[in-house]
Amino acid sequence: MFNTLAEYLTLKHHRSPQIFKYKVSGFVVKTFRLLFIIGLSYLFLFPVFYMLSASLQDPAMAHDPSVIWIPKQISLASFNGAIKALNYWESAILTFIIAAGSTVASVVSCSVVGYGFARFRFFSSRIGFMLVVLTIIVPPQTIAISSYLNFRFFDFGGILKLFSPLTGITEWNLLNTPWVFIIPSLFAAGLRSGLFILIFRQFFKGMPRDLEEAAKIDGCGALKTFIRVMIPLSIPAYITVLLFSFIWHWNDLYSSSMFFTLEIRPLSVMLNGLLSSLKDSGVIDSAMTTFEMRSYMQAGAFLTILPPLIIYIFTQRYFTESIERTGIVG
Amino acid sequence: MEKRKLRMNLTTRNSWNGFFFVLPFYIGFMLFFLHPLIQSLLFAFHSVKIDVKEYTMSFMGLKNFNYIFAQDADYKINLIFGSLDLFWKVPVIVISSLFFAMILNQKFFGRGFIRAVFFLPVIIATGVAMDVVQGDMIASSIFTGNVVSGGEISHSSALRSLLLEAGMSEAVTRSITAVFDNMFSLMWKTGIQMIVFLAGLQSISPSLYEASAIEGATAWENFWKITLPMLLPITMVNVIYTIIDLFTDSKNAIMLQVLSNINTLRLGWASAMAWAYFFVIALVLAIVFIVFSRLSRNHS
Repeated sequence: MFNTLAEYLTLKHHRSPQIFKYKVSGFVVKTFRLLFIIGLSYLFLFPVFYMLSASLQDPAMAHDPSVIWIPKQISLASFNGAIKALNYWESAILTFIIAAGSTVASVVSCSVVGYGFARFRFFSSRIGFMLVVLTIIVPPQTIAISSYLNFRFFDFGGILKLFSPLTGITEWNLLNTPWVFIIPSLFAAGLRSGLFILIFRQFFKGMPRDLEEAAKIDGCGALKTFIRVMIPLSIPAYITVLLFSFIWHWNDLYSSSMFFTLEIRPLSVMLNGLLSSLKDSGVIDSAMTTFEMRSYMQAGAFLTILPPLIIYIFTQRYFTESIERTGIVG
Repeated sequence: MEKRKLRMNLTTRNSWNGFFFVLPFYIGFMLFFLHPLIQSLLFAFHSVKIDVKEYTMSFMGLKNFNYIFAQDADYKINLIFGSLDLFWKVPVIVISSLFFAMILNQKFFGRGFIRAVFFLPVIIATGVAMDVVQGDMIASSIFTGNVVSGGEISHSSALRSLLLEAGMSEAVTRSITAVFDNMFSLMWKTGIQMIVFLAGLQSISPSLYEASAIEGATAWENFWKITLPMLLPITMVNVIYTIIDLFTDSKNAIMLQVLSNINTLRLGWASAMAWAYFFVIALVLAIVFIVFSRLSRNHS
């Protein structure tokens, strides 16, 4: 009777073939998108679930082949072992001081500098901005060695030497202290500060000038305009940079592993050497198979990402909504 | 006359204000960037000895560079393969992050939650935790469905034999399976780029799409004629970010070599390696700049 299925459906529903075609393709697109999103969500959620599942597994039961995702018996043994081997609480506090301190420092300094580049024309403003781009491009590894020496024999560009008759100290060894991250961040030269300056500059450039001019007419100086007018309007940019900076400092391995060599090191460095410190602290012995060690390793990994994950869960609402308005684009 | 003088003062004051805003960066740049940068350039031409109190340098000329290229067995190989990897890794990362961003930019049920999930790589992937998961055999076998045999995972074994059956050469097969073996870690590198693309997509004026809808353009044409050209500057930012991200990855073979040389206090070699590496990065970035400025000129 009907030549095609489409023709049948069209006649049955009294719709034109055009609309029908449109509906079908819309349906196909939606289904495809849904499948795609589910697949990718699995990809992105997988490590979190895996860490949690493996670390809740009792290490002694590791060889049970019938368990893939949900442990038969929930055990906190591997968490206890990992906490001991990571020096978890001390390391977490140190990491938090580093991450929080340098994040606050770099958000303040980078936003001020970004505002300067966004709103003012002055001597060297062009070259200055090119230098910002240079700091983004040069890998930290190129300057790592001299930064190491710079912090080992820290004298603040010779200033501390000038005051040495007063203080009796010619140089400070800043290694193994959070200052190696916080002091550069204060001067917008910390971890990925160049990128933050760029984000703030692009954001401030996109703001209308009217409000600042109104503030100026009301008698505000440049700094007061910035604090009273610009900062309250730029909360989304601040939150984005806050989160980026915190995460990058928290996860940083390269600089941290160079600057910290004592017992208590940032969590990322501790996690990097977890296998050997598990052996050293006697949590696992060398007779253990990789299957048994696995739950300790995953527990360590989960404990390491747990604090930023909790922070992210509470801030993600601001974060995912604010990105659209940060105007990183320019 | 009076008025002119006043305006001059205002401009001068304004420019001083700007200078003061930027001053922290200049100080930080001098102390924590330029100073180490010059110093490490000097190190590359010297042999450095560290004592308890201070360090001494003796001039070596190009000996450090001669050593790393002529005598170090791994450096040259790592440098070449590290750079060649970019040719497929960068396109895969950038294209997929653009694709993800375009999906996240559409309106659908539960978008807020999905966005939160899609941004997880930003939180996790930059850390060591990700390496622990990736280094775990069971995790990768559950994930990829590959067989764990004798402690080694045979990646994409089915695909590999299929391609070899189909008459592909060994080299082609290896490079294709490499893409799939690395898919997991590559998708995890798309976080930041996705956010930047999303911001870029949001900044395209909707009126452009309205106009093209009136002209009767399809979504496919919209993508090539509106979305892609408008995203060109952002794409350049992302390509550059991806290259830098891959090059400065702390798991990168050369980075590990530099670090191990630092740990054994052979600072001259470490600096020479880092500088030679930086020149390769600069060269790659220069090529990217040229290509993209060509592209944008063609479009305008």
